[in-house]
Amino acid sequence: MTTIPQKQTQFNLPTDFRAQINRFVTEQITRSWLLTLWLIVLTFFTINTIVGRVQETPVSTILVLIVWASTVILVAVNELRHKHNALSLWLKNNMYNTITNIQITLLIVLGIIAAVIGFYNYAWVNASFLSVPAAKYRAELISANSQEYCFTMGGVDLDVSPTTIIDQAKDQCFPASQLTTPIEGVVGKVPTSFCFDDSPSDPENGVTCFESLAFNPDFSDHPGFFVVERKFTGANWGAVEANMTTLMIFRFNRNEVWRIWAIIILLGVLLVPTTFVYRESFQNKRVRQILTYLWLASPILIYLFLRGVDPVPFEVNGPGSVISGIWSETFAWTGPLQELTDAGQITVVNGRPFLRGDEGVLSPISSGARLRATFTGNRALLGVLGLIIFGGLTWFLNRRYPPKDREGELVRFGRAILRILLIVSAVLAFLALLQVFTMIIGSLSYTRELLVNQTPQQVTQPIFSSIDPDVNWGGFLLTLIITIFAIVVSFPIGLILALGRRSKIRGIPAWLTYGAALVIAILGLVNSTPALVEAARNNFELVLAYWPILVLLIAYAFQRTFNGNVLAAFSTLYIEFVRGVPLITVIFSAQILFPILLPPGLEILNTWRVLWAYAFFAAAYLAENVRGGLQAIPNGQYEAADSLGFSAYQKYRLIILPQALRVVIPAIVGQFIGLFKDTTLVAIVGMFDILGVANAIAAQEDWLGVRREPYIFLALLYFVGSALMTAYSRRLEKQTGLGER
Amino acid sequence: MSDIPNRPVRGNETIPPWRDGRIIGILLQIAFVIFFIFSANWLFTNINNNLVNLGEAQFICKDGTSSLRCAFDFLSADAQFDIQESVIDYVPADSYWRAIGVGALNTLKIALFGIILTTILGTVTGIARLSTNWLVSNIAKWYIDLMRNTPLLLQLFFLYFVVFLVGLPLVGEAYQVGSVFISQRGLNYPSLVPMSSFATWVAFIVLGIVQAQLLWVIFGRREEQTGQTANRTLWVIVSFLVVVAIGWFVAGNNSNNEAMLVARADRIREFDDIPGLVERRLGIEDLSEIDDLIASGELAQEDLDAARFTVCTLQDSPSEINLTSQLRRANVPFSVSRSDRADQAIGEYAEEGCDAFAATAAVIAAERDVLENSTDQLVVPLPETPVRISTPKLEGFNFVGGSKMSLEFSAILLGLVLYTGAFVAEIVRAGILSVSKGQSEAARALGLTEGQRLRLVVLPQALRVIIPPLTSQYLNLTKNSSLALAVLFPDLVRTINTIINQSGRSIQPVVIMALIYLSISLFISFLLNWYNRQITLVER
Repeated sequence: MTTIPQKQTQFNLPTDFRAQINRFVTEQITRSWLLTLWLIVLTFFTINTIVGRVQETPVSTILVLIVWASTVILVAVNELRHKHNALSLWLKNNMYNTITNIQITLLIVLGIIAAVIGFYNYAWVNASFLSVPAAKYRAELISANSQEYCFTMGGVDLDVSPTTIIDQAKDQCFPASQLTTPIEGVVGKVPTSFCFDDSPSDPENGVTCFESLAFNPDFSDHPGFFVVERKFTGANWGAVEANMTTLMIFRFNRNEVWRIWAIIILLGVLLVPTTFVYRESFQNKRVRQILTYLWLASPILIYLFLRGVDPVPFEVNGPGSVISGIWSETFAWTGPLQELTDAGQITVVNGRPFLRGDEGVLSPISSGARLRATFTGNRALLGVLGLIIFGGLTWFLNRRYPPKDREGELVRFGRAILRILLIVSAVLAFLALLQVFTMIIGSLSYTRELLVNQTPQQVTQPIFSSIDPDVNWGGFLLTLIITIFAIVVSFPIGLILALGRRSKIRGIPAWLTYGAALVIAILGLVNSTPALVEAARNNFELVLAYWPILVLLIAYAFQRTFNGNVLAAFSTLYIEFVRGVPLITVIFSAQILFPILLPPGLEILNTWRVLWAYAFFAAAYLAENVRGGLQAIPNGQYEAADSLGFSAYQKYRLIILPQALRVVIPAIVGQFIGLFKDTTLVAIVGMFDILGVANAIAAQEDWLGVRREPYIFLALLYFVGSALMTAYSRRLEKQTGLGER
Repeated sequence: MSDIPNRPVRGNETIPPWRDGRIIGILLQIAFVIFFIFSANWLFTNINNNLVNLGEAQFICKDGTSSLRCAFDFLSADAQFDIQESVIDYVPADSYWRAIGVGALNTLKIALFGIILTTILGTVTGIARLSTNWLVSNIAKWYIDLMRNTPLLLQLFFLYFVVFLVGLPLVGEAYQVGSVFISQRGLNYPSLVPMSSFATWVAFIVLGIVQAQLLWVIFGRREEQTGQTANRTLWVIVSFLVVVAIGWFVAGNNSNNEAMLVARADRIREFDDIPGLVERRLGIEDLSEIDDLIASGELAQEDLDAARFTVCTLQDSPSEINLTSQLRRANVPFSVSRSDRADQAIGEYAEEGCDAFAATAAVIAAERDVLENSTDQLVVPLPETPVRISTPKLEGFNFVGGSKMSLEFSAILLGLVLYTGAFVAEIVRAGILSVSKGQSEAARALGLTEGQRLRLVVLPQALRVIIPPLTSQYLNLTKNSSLALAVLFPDLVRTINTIINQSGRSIQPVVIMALIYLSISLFISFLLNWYNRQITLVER
């Protein structure tokens, strides 16, 4: 279709004119009777549509028809002349290549025009942008003449009290030509009731009605005051505008919003250098190292900003016994000792805790509970001490006996033990550091002026006051928190699961598996089955009583499918299970089962349950994506790494994963977009992400039932967000050279 | 997860077991298993302790003791909550088990219809995306982008709360296309009601299929042997239709199951006498004049209502459809009163409530003797066809007759189809693009028709690329059907949720829900993997 005889530039009319027309008719119309029939039906439909549209919106339709007809003629003439210009060639190839397409083009253009006009009227012409609902508000007449009437609109809410300012007052003038409603009676020189119509074609829409307050005793000395009521049929953008802050951060304390700005600034400051520091020219530079550490530290800061710090924690006994702190952020710890303390059953006498009995009798606390409390309290001290002792020991040993390539087993073992002890005490010391840090932060306070009981007061409050995630996190903030948490946490888990599923290490030998299974089965058959058979109430329970046989079957399946490889078995089962159930089920289960699965007294916030549910869910899907990438790596790469003597860690870190992950960037970004969209599911389980807030707007008294506009706004937001992620993925692909090699 | 490298063995030096990578790996795995078992045990202990704190109500037996054996016993108790929509019969007095079954079947219903419609929409959109018309392909692109980049839940909310609940008219002003009504009550459309002779007709259809198969084979053999080509598709279709048509008449005319009971005084011997009765009552010549007479005012509406042919019948019985559809065709004005039970219906008839009692002949024979003056009653057999069409009709604020698709089901189905269709469209497009142009050119060069080219060359190759991702989209659709909860459709998740609230048990329902979803997912992926294996055999 696109071939044009290029050399044939001069006119050769009229000799082949007839031939061309004939060819056109046979090719396009009479090729088969089915085509002819279809064209007749289509033409009939097209004419019908045109007639309908002309009656509805004559101007735009006729304009479209003229443009369409002229371009069709242009293409036809150029086709006959065998000489196309750029426009007609493009039109011929993309819009007018068959008769069907010519008509469909017209139909689609008419449809688009109708939709655009409809949406334009809805979203702009007939829309209200008032951030106060369409309820009544007040206006004051400033000037009136034969051309126009001017008012100061808004500024006073009649429902609350005549002096409460609810919205920025603004001046607005109405042309006298728009005055519609008949004037009913006049007070002074001003009519008592009248309306202006912005769009006379639509009687229902854009009507602003004024009713004088002159008859109201409260306003009798203000003859220029009116009650205004606006009526409109279009969009109610005010619902979005008035609730914008709520949509974004929900119930996050309004005087703590600076924390969110601080996070945004922090991320911005980190992001700007990131764009160029992670290039090859900066390899092994100190700047990159520092930036990496800052990125690693940023979650702690973000957490501090979002969550705040509890007031300086309660001490049970001993120096540095800090029960609260970062640890208790995740788990609201109410262990036995804390519980008793809260109940007022513990009394400290001479620095030693005693239990207060029923009749006020004091008895020493049991040694187990004390040990636990002491350890909890002093783990910070232990950590610091351990770090000093083991760190010093290691340093001393390394200096005295530098590590060699070949040394005795005992020495290696000793070094390993020392290293483990060092790591443990380092972790404890790190926690202690965090506790000290949070204690300092928590004790920082500042004084500000606040409205307390409707009167301004000087109030001293902690800078990072504690914020309850279950109550105060919401809106777009929660959406982002869930997305980012799930992405960050699921990545390492998913990576491990993918490697686990593909691992080919030698599994538990068959004789061991079967031996263990046999022992369990025999023990079960002897000890448990007879009792169960006796107690069975129906056939199902009777069958279930022989569960030891199931153990043997599982052992067989395990050996047969996974060759005894525990890692592969666990990863595969986990991935397949999570991928087999819907996300909403996982969230439900997390909400219901987390409290039941944890020991009594250990409670976990609802927000954390949901966050972890998302992370574990995303990990299974990520694992499958990464596995796809791993499969794409040829065996030679593994062999090359092995022959270079790389350790397993080096092999995966330097050779396999960089290549595997690069291949699956599009898939992973696609999954993250899906995750971003799936955060809306928390709206079903009673949390207020941005969709939950949008639903809540429709329940507000002011905006009862207004759903359309918030939903449209949300769709736009998600669309832009997803598009940005897609664009970033494209850039990343280009950066890593995907598809070039 | 990583393989620990083995050091090469030099000479007769052996690796000590504590440094042998294989042995360390195995030991670590055993440690992992033991750790896993201990964690599981720890969780189980926690569950036990927590349940004790909850008052031991979770695993209670009938005799009052608490035992793990009785964990699922409560599911046999009465559910005591209503479910709006159900494929099988369900009342609140049914057990929890049945309620779960209802929920699972509803989920399957969404999945089944969703998969069929998604395939159609996805294929059409995928082809539109490849259209030579720039506008068509770009509109398809925008549709796909919009659907893929906004959350499904948002789309569902928009569809249900904005488009359906606000956009659709009230019942009284329902949109009407033919006999299809669209309103806030959902979609009401005509349905086919099988009559008692339906089984006979089905037998004829089976016969038709068998002989069509036979003909197909015979024609094929003849074509191979003699080389004579015959239009065997046409022959097979025509012969099949002939058998089915014969079956229609045979089944309809030889059955006298449908009947009605009328008073002897009404002088009705067969169905065709009914118009005469009404004409006598109204005092007119032809029933088709009624509209004109009403319009001109010569006939009062009250008189017409008094003269209507009244029918007593059973609720939802085929007999009602059979009689009323014929009355409607004969222009007879009528009214129907429906009862729940046969004795109620005939009782109403006996009290001069109705002109006729319509039911199957067997019911009439059984109930007739109840009447005091049974000799004054006449049983008139009614003509029937194997299938009658039942059309919906607005009576008061409800639709009578026909079938109904609720707003909730429409919302979840339409939402899922529109959403998943966009993903399927991209898959179809990629599949078609993956078949190289040369294949089509070769097919054309061999002289294959366009249909043959698509069916024999392009599609088999495209399907190889399409099926695996399509499988995962079907699975996604099935799993996303759990969002029916958001539009208040009683699918599995919603039912389970209600059960959790109703019974106070939480673990068992969640476990059952997970198991059901797992089995559905496994079943669908098994089915499509099997199909995938079938078509990959085409590969060289």
